[in-house]
Parts: sequence; C-alpha cells; structure tokens
Amino acid sequence: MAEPWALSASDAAAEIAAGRLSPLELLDATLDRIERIESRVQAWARVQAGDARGAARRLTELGRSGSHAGPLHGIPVGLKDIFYTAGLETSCGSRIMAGFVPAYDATAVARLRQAGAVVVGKTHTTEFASFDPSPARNPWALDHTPGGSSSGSAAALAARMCGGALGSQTSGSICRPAAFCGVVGLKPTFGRVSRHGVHPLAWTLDHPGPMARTVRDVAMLFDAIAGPDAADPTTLSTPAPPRAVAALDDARAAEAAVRGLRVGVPDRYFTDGLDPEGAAAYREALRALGDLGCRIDEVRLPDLFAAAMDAHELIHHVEAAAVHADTYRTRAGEYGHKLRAIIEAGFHVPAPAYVRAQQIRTLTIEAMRTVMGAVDVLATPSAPGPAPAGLAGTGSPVYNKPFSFLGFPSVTVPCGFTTGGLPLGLQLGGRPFEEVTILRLAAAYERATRWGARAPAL
Amino acid sequence: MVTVILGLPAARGERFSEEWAVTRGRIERVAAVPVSRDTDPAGAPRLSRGDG
Repeated sequence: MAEPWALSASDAAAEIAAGRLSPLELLDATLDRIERIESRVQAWARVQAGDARGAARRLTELGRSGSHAGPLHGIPVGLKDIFYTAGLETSCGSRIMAGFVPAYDATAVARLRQAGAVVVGKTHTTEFASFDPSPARNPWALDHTPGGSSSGSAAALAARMCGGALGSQTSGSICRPAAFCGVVGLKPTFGRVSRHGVHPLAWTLDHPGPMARTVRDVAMLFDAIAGPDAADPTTLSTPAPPRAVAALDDARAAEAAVRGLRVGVPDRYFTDGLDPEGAAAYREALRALGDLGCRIDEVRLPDLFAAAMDAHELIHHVEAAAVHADTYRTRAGEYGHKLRAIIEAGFHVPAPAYVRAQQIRTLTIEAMRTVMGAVDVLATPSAPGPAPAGLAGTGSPVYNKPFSFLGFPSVTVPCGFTTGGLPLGLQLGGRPFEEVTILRLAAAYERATRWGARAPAL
Repeated sequence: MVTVILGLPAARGERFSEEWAVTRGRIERVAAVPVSRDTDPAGAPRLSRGDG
C-alpha cells in the first residue's frame, strides 16, 4: 500500500472498509503530511487536529464494532472557509469576518460528516470568494497562483493534504483552481447542492460543489452532499440526485454511455485568448474523446452569448454589492481593492439593468437548452492557459462563468501539462441535472489518459 | 446619489474608476439587447421542468 496520505479517497475508503487502514492511521498520516509541507503550500486557514483526531478515533472504534458511518468513513476533507462550521471559525478570507464562529454547519458540511468524512480544517479562500488572493500557493510551482476562489481546497488536494474538499463557484471558482492545480472539480447544477450555510458572494450565481483528486472521488463527495434541503428552496422540486458512484462503477453501462456520446465544440468564446500549449492540449483531448467513441461536432453558440457574459458580470456585481452593503457602510476600508471595486460598481448599476441582465439569462438558458438538444456535452478548455505566475491574481474564470451563469453542470479533469510542468484542464459541460453524463465521460477520459495520476514534487 | 440614499460612503476604492468604466460598457450592451416584456427575469434559476 502507498503512504496513506497518497491514497485517493476511493482507495483509502476501500482500505478502511477492508480493515487494512483505520481512520485514525489515515488522519495521522495526513496531519504528518500537512506538518511537513503546509508552510510551503499555505493551503489551510486553520487545521483542527484535535477535533479531527476525536472524530477519527470515534470512526475507528465504530469500524472495530463492525459498523461504517457511510461511504466517506474516515476520509479527511478540507472545507473552503466560506462554509459554516459549528464551533469552528469561518473567516471567509476577510479581516471583517475574523473571529466569526458559526453556531451550525452548512448543509453540505453536515452531510459530509454524516457520510463519515473527517474535517481536517478550513482551506484558504480569496476574500469572500471574490478576486483578492489568499496566501495559498500552487503546489506545482510555488510562485504561481493556485487559482481562486477555492484556492486552498485545490492546493491541499494537489499536495495530498486531504482526500476531498468543498469549493464553491460563482464565476469560475471550482473549475479554475482545480484545473490550475491538476485535480478534479465539479460545479453541480444550480439547485443540486444546498447553499445553506455558505457565505454568499452572489446569491443567484453561487454553486457549492466537490473537489478531489479523481473523478470517482468527486462523485463520492457529490453523492454525499447533493439533494433537497428545506433550508435552501432552490434545491426543492429538483430531480432526485443521481447515485453517481454507482453509475461510474457500473463499468459496462458507463462504457456504453460514453460510446456514441455527442460532444459539442463551441464555435467561439471558449478559445478566445487560449495560449498555444493550452490549445494543443485541448486539441489532443478532443482527439482522445473521439478515441473513446464520442462523436465530436462543432456547435454554434447563441447570438446573445457575448451579451450574456456582460449580464453575468452585472448580476455578480449587483448581488455582491447587496450582500456587503451593510458591512461596507461602516468598514469599506477593510475590503481588498478588487472586491471593493466590484461592490462600489455594483451599487451604481441601475435596477432596470439588473433585471434586463436576468431576462437575458432566461433567454440564454433557453437558447443553450436548444444547443444541447443536438449534443450531450460541451467540451472546452478549463482556462486560457496554465496557472499564471505570481500570487497577486488568481487567473481568469472566463471559460467557466458561462456554466455558472446558466446553472448547467460542469466538471474539470486534468488534460496535460505545459513544458514547464504546470497542469492543464479539460472542462465538460452538461445539461441541467445530468451530472452523471459529464462524470462518466470525465472518468473515461481520466482512465484513458492518466493525466491526473501525476503528483507535484514537494 | 445612490450612495447618499443608501447612506454609503462615496466610492473611493483605488480601482473603482477602472471597474466602473468596464461596468458602464456592460450596462450599455445589456440595455441594447432586445428583450420581450414577456420574458421573466431568471433570478435564482429553478431548472427542473417537473419532468424529473
């Protein structure tokens, strides 16, 4: 067996289920790993070793008695520091929130615990999940950004400091950092995962979701956190959540589902500004999807697509301004420059322009439903290139935000490396509530290419 | 005006002017898109069509 901390969540869960590894042994190995490399990666806002040991000890005893808490029994996880955690500080990467200790867990956190996950701690986020960077670094090149806003979650996974993590995406905050750090991230359909207890950035664009090292690991977390929650009305009256792991583990059905899948390549936007190495990796990824039996067709994006991306930004800014209005009134100087500019601009957007932006959203969703009547999946690069050098920015969410605007699900999976050794990602977008379709394709691609198996040298 | 009504401090962030110039362009482009008055604003999208 590999070092316990090096195991994927799926492999660790299998070892624990077989009695060859205990949750406490896995946690101790993970904490030791964190002790050795965290000072370089800086993925964690806070590690709760004592609480985590207590939970792992309880799960170890439960296992000895022949019981398992759930599919994530003993798996160490990191939580982006905008997810509320009962009794554990949640500071949202902001001075303003320093010392805030929620009285309850976010629904997604409670569900992870229920499934047996061990919360190691809170991972760094950009300030309020916006664009002012956190201290986190990219494990593949410590002088490069890990992306944002789920910076610490992506960095901790890539550095093998946890087996799974929670992130959130309002523009590109799951898929971008996952791609930059060479891990897998799923932005579920809007309404699939409860936002209850997740500090908002922009209510109608915020998507909590899982991040992990493999597609199957992401599916494990997704199965645990997805589903209706009375505390978040947007999750109600949605289709029953899929059993994603079961769908992936049914090898024959998964293979049949991928063969003949119609993969759409957008005619524009998703390659604007794409760098040459990213373009080469994207072309190669499309070829690999063809080799898997997919049919690759160009699709024409709706005429209003560019205006839709403007609409996204207006909605984002206005809602962020509304979220922060009361705090900004008295503590404007304590915001980072980027978020402050967003808030200030948001205050000045006329209300009819916000409503028009939401109308354009309605039209774009309908137009994209039509586009996706002809194809099952859209395949795009996850970012215009690898993680940019420097720690003052977090890279561009430009290719991810269409899926945040639409609410359609998207997943990123590693699709290669630059000559400088930085990971690149392939983004797959699907129809609403069809997470299983994109997860199956991502898993088949992952299995065929093995890009995700590489680990950074730390 | 907005800031006065809402009792907010004036926009003094060092990036405000740059961000506002970009935002203003977005407002103009979004306003130029013809939209039927029958189009409901999306709000938080509820994507289920009830056909599960």
